[in-house]
Amino acid sequence: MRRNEFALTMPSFLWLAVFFIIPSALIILISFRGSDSYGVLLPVWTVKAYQSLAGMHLMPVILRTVRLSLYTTVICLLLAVPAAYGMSRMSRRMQNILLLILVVPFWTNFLIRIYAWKVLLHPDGFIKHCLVWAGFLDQGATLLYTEGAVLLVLVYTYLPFALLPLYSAAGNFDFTLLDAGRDLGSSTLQLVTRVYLPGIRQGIINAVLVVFIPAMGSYIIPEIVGGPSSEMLGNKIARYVFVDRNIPRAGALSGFLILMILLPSLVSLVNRDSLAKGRKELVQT
Amino acid sequence: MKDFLVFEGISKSFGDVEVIKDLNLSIEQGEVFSLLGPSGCGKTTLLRICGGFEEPDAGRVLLNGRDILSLPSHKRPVNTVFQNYALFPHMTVSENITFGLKVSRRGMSAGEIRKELDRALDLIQMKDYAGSRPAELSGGQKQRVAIARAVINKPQLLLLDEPLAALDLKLRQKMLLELDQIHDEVGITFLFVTHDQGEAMSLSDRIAVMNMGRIEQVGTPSQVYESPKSSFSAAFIGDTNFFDCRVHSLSEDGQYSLLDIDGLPPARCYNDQKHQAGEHINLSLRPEKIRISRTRPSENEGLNVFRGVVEEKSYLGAFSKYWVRCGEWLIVVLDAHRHFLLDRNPPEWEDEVWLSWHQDDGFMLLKYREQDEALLTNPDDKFARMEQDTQPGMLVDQDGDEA
Repeated sequence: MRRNEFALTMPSFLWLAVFFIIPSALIILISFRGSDSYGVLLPVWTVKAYQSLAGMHLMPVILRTVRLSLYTTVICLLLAVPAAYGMSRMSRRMQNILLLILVVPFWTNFLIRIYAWKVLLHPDGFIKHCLVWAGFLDQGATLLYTEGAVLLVLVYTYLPFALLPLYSAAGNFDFTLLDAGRDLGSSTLQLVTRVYLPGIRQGIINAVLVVFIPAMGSYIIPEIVGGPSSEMLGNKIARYVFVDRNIPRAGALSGFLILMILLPSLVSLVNRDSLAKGRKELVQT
Repeated sequence: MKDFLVFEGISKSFGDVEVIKDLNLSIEQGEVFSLLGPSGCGKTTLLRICGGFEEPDAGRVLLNGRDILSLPSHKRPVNTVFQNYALFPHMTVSENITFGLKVSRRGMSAGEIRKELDRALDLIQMKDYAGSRPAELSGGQKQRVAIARAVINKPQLLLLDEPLAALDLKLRQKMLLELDQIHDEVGITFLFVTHDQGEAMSLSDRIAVMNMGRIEQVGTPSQVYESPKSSFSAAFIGDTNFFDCRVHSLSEDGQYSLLDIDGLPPARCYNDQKHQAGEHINLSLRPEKIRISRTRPSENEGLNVFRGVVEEKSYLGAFSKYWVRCGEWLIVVLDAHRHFLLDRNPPEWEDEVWLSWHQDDGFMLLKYREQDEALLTNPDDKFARMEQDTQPGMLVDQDGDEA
C-alpha cells in the first residue's frame, strides 16, 4: 500500500523536480557567476551579483512588493471569507452556478484581462469617467500606472484563488457548531472569531499561501497597469535580464525573493509539525 | 410547579410543508419529557423552536410564564445537547466545557470558572481528559462533554436532540443510565427528542407521541404503551396486531362491545373510547397479551379465543415469536419463556394452536388517517425533504438582525 501511494505521487514529484527545483537551483547557481557587459556568463565564481544588489536602492521596491502582497492578501481574505460563508449556505444548485461564474473569467486569457483593466482605468476610460462624474475624482487625477491600480488588479486576479480554498473549508465546516455556540451564549462576533474562523483555519492558511506567494512574484500586472513608481521585485528581475543583461544579478534577486517566500512557509510547516506532535503526546499521556 | 414550559398553538411550515400544526403542550418542572415520533414528525423542529434556532409561524412558548420567543437563542435560559454533539473541534475538553461561561460575559473570574469546570468534569467523570480534543474521544465521551458543556451554564431547561442516536447499542444503554443520574444530580428539566421508543420509555417521566406535526398522545411510558389513544401510538410504540372490525353491539353498561372481524369469531373488547355500534374501527392487540397453547383454553368469562396454525416461529431466548395464521389474518404472538422450555413441548411450525386474549387487553381505536399509513410503512423518504429544510447554524439571525 505504502509503495503504491508513493508511486502515485511520483509523476507530479518528477515534474516539479525537473521543471521547478532544478531550474531554481540553476538560477541560484548562476547568481554566483560573473558576467561581462554583453550579458555573457563568465566561468568564475563570485558574490559580485549580491554585492551589486546592495547598491541598487532596492529597499523601496522590496517594501512595496511586501506591502502590495500583504494588502492583496488581506483584502482578498476580507472579501472571500464572507463570500465563502455565504456561498456554502446556498442551495447546491446556486453554489454550482456561482462556482461556474467564478471560473468563467479563466476562459479569457490572463493577459487580455489585464489589458482590459488598462482600458478601464485609462484617463479616458469608463471608470475614470464614472468617478469624475460622481465627483470622487478631479479631471486631472490619474488611475492608471499607480500603486492603487496594481493593488486593484492584484486583488482582481487573486480573489478567485482565495475564494476556492475558503469555500471548500466552509463546505467542510459543521454549521451546527454555530448553533452550539449561539446556544451557549455567543454573540455573532464571538461566533465568528471563536468558532467559525478557527473552524476554517486550514482554508485561511491555504488562501494566504495561494495569494501571498504569487503576489510576491508579480511581474506582468505591475508591468502593464503600474508605472515606474509602482514597480515590484518581478519587474526589477526582468529589467536586470532584458535591459541590463546582468543575469547573475537577476538570479541573485530571484534567490532573495525565493528566500523571502520560503522562510515564512517553512516556519509555518515546522509549526504545524510540532503542533501535531504535541497533540500526539497529549494522547499518550 | 405546574406548567413550567408551555407550547401554545405552535405552527411552523417550511415552504409548503406544514411541519407543526397548532401544537399545544405543557411540561412540568424537573421532569424528563420525551418527544417521540418518526423522522419528519416535527419533534426536532419543536426542539429547535424552543432553543431559538427556528421561529414558529404562530404561537407562543412560555418558560416559567415568560414568553421566550422574543429572546434570541443566546439569551434564553435553555441549553442544547446536539445530535452530533457539535463539540468545537479546535478546543480541548476543558475549553469546550467552559465556552459558555467565557462568552456569556457574566464576569466570572478565572478561579470561579476553574471551579465550575472541575465540578463539571467530576459530574461526567472525565478529569483525565481535560486536555484532550474531541477527535481523541470516543462517542460516549463526546456525549458526556456535550452534556457538561450544556449544563455548566445552569440552564432552566436542557434540550437533548437524539443525544444517543450516534452511539452503539451497549453504550447507549450505559449512557441512558448516566443521563438519568445526571438528571437526578442537576435537577433541571430535560426535553428529550428521540425516535427510539426504548430510549423514551426508559428515561422519561412522560412522553408525547408526535406524528405529522401533531401530538397523538401525552402520558407516562406505561400509559402510552398500555393504553394507546390512537392507531398511530399503538403502532409506533411497540408492536401490535391490528384488526379491521365493525362494532356489532354494545353491552348494556356500554363498557364492552362485541366486534365483528372478518373470518374470526366475534370478540368482546373493552370500549375505552366509547365507540358506537356500526362504527368501523381498528382493534389493537399487543403480541405479548395473547396466549398461545396447543389445547383449547378453559372457558372463561372475558376470554376471546381464536384458532389458527403456526406459520412461522422464531426462538429469541427470553421468548418466542409466533406468526399464527387465523383465516386471512396473520397474528403475531410473543410467548415469554417463564419455565424451562425443553420439556414443555411448545407449539411448532404447522401446529394447530389456540390463541386467547382477555377482553380488557384489546384496544378499539379510530382507523388510521391516510397519511399515517404512509408514514408507518415508509417513514423515511416521504419526509426527507422536510429535514433538509431545517438549516443549522446561521451566523446571522433569521430575521437578518445581528444578534
